[in-house]
Amino acid sequence: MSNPIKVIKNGIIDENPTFVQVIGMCPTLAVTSSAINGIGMGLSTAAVLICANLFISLLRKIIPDKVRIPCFIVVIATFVTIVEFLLKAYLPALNASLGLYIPLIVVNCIILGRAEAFASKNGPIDSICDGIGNGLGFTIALACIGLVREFIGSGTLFNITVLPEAFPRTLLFIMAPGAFFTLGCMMAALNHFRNKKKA
Amino acid sequence: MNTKEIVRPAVVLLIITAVAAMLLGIVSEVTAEPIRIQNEKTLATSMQAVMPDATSFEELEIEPTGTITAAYKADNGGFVLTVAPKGFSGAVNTMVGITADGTITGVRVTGHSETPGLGAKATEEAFYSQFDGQSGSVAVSKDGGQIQAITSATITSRAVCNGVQEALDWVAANGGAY
Repeated sequence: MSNPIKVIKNGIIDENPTFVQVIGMCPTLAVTSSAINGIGMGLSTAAVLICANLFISLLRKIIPDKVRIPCFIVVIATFVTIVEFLLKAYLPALNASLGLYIPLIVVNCIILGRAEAFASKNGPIDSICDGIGNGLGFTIALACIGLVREFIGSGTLFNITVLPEAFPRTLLFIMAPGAFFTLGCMMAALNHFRNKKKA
Repeated sequence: MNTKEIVRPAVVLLIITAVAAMLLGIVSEVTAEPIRIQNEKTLATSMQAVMPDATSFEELEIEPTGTITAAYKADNGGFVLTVAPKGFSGAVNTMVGITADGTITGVRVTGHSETPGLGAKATEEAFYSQFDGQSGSVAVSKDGGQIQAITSATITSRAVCNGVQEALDWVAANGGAY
């Protein structure tokens, strides 16, 4: 897999982290109560994923196979923590909007999953592409779930009211059960189309 | 299994963790001061939001009472108190500005874990602006007070009222002493 476009497309569609690999579920369910939150989480994760993939790929020949998981965890956690410190100290405005997601990224298994499945076996350029693909795939998935939940639950899209005030809001959708409903329905629909295509 | 197979991974892991620890130590050291300044700035900005007439605030050493977490004396004689009353799902951190004669100058919910779309509306101006200019006692209309509770979030609204009430009571009881 050396074609960068193919690697990116693979991350967004064929191996979409949320809908196909089904990893990183905790932040997926937790932050998608609105589209903006979903996109914020998605893009922050993408940025971390690209850098983590690059680091792991560069270190892949030095890290012995037996201790690779602890090495990956140390590298990723260090990187995220440094970013958090720097954001807090020098970019408080960005920290105010993204700070909420940073602790969630550290425990996000997409980063470790991609380090293990891709970056530890491929060169730096391919690994960056894989980070971009999976990061965008994650962002798109979170944005879609966020849009649906926000629309049904609060009657808004990107914080702009679109449903008339008189129309009842289904508040359940911005609470935890709504996240499961939305995710399940979306996955079912995607699988349906995928199976149809195969047949 | 020879020694090389055991030693090499251990040494590499040791080097990686040592480098990581050193980097973290350096970054933490370098950013400690800027982060402290930023935190102070954020605090000053939010205090100014609840007490627009004041320009500087000084933290008071107080006896912990109820859910009051901190108290500040403003340069115009007023007080800013932070309270953490219990809401629907955890503490609702609230900042209250009160003049020396016991009139509320502003209320802001600074941190909470209330239900999105319901209790979370306590952070909206439509709710918190109701407190401006009130004095003596505050309560939601359901309890016979003057504050219109957030729809379907009476518990959160009541929590904010309780917190503000505590702040009012504190200023009434201790305001003269500072």
